Amino acid sequence: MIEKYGADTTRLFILFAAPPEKDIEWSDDAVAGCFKFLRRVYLIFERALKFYKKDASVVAFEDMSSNAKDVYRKLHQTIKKATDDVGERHQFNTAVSSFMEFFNMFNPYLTEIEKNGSDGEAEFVISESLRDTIKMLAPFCPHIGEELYSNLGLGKSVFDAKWPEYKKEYCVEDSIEIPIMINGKIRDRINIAPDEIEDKVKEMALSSDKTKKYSEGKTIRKVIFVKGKLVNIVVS
Amino acid sequence: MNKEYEFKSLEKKWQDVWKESDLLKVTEDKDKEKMYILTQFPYPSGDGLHMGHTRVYSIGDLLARYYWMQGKNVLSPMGWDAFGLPAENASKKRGVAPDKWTLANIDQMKEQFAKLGLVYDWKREVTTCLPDYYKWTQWLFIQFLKNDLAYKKASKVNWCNTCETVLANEQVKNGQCEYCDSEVEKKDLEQWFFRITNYSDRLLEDLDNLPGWPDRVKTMQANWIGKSTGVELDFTVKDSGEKIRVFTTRADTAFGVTYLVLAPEHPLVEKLSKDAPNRGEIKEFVNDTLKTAEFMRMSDEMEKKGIPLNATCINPLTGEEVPILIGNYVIYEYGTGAVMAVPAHDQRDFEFAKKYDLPIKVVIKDKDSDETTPENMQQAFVEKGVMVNSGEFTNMTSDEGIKKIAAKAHKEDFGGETENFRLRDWLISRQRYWGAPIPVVYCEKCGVVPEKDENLPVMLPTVDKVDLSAKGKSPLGTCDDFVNTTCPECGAKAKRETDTMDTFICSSWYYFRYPTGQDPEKAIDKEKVAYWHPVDKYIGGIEHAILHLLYSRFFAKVLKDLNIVKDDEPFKQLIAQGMVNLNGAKMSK
Repeated sequence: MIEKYGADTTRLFILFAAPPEKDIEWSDDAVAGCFKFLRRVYLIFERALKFYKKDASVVAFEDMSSNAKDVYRKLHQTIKKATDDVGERHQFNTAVSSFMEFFNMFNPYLTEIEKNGSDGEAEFVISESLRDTIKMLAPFCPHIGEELYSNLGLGKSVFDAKWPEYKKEYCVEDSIEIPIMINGKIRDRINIAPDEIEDKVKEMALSSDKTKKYSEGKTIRKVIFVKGKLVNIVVS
Repeated sequence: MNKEYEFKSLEKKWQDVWKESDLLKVTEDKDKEKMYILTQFPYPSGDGLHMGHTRVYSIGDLLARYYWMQGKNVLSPMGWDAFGLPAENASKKRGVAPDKWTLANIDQMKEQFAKLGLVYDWKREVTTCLPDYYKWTQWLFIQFLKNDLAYKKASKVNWCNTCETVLANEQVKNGQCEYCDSEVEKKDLEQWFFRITNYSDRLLEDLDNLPGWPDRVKTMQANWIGKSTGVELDFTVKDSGEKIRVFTTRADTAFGVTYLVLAPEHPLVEKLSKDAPNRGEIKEFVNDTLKTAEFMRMSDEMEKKGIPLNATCINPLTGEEVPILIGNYVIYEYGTGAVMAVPAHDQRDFEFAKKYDLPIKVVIKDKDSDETTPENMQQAFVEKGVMVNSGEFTNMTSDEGIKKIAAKAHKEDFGGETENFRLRDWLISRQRYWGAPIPVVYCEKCGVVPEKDENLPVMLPTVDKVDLSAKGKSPLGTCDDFVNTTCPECGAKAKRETDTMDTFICSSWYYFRYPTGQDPEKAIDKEKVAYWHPVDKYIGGIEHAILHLLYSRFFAKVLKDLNIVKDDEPFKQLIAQGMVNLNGAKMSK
């Protein structure tokens, strides 16, 4: 196992497979998946490194372009999730999922920058992303963590660094997508502000074309709103 | 940087760096918040690390590095639970000395740890089979002995024929040896015990102070301790005047007792069967029952069998005369080894009474309905209710009746309220070679004498000096140089104890040794331990829910009472990790 994929992959598989208290079922595919993820992180890092600036100047969150904002927000959400999952809940598997999600968003952003060229904003977002994600990955996969960190010019060991901190205000989504259900079946999705008031969301749900289609000729009995989750319309 | 993720060279490079680094090497720093992360130390077997180990140590290493990066002062030590049977078996099979075998395995596992990228503060390493550790295990035994927490007594003990040693109750699982799955027998032997039952109440009550423990572990411990509050009553054997004490949680049903059942091991059995016409049958019944494993005797599936004793006794409340029987389902070790039978209000007694045609007497009724008759009963009425046919207690509720009957028993000196525990004292002597010798000397003049502190450790002789295959006896007894000694008190010729200690003693205090460091002057450094304790995160398998975790809590409480440590709960939070399976079965490598 260690011989074939290395210690970091072994550790990642074991921490990612299930929460600590649950049994793990060994799966060669899942192990290979973990190796693939680490390799992907390595290669993305290698590509991104040319845009990295140790002392990139800070760009204010509210001044960022929408793409940069999305990545930067995701970074802070990931720090929040990992801090909570590792330090408070000890649910290491979901922390790993959040790393994977982050790189899924970071990769297309990087491709975009590679194509269109970098600027101060991109340098800032990329530099912050590389530094903080590597710090978070390091306790899970310390070898790759040390290796990548050593390219950032920030000191000789990632374990001399402090675990990153997040800013709550950067974690809040501009909008979230929630499903509209008619009699329990998802028929449409709408984007709303996370703190949108109930009446407004219900109004949006009822005015959707799909809602109109599925409730045609029927009476609307009830509209249920679960904050941040869904709208369910009961018709008969 | 390299264009490709070449993990082999990359991992090797950093492992070499960590070998020399100060990462996770710590001292007591009062200005920093401490974090004691502990993973259960492994048994250094020849098989090396399995995936279960990999899991538990990956979790520990992740947490240690995480809290380190959070700026905490992190103690994350490692050691070896190194005494035990496998080393002895390897020696028997392959002729390799247990100490060499064990130390070689430790080297191998250390290398595997490094290859996984695990980092520990090795200058705190604990190896339980080395004299610098077992010296202190012996010293702790002597503290127990001096404080009347260790004692020797003859008793029926669990004996494993395959391992050729006794086992603690906690090491018998479903009637089988925890180590080799052989059936466990009962054997009369003189053995050393620790008085863990002195701590039953505290071990139970303090579970409430452990919010960081999984509920299922706390429930398992509570059930193992098994406290029940009830009433003891003395029944007097007719014509002989001997008392038979019974324990019941339902004293309100005492007027419905129609017979008494003794455990086959009960000391009165022999006496009361001496002149019985069915003496031979009784003897056979007793022998058959004692061959059956206790857990089988207690299980619901076991057929309940009994045999009459040709003796009767007097119910202290009614003055009625009731027959005495022996029953296979009564366990001598639990309660008083005798039970009063109330077939109308206990389902097990009901079935037993039907089978052996014993009388049934109704003494409790549902508060909203009329009392029933034995003829109308399809099963026992086991609920509490209102007492009937119960003399001065008639019309009382069950709970009221229990209190009043207990008070009467106490006043008239035939019993009273009492607490009963399932937990037994911890049998700690083992007829094994590869363990810490019990540091006690037998002197004809002075009796049982603990070895003097300055003579510790009582060294384990090397394996070439002992006969490991001494059938049913302690191997150390075959080494004259070991056995023959002088009395620490009077200097006369004396003999050493030849049993070694249960290895669970070694692991009951190792978490105090890490903060102490490898201090040659004392077992436990009170101040250093006070800085690091309790263990903030203890990571290990759920299989230790009772054995190791209960014993460790017991040790911590004793050591606090002896003013050796300050905290009496060693582990603040438990992270009990699941298994790693391959195709549904436990995975080895």
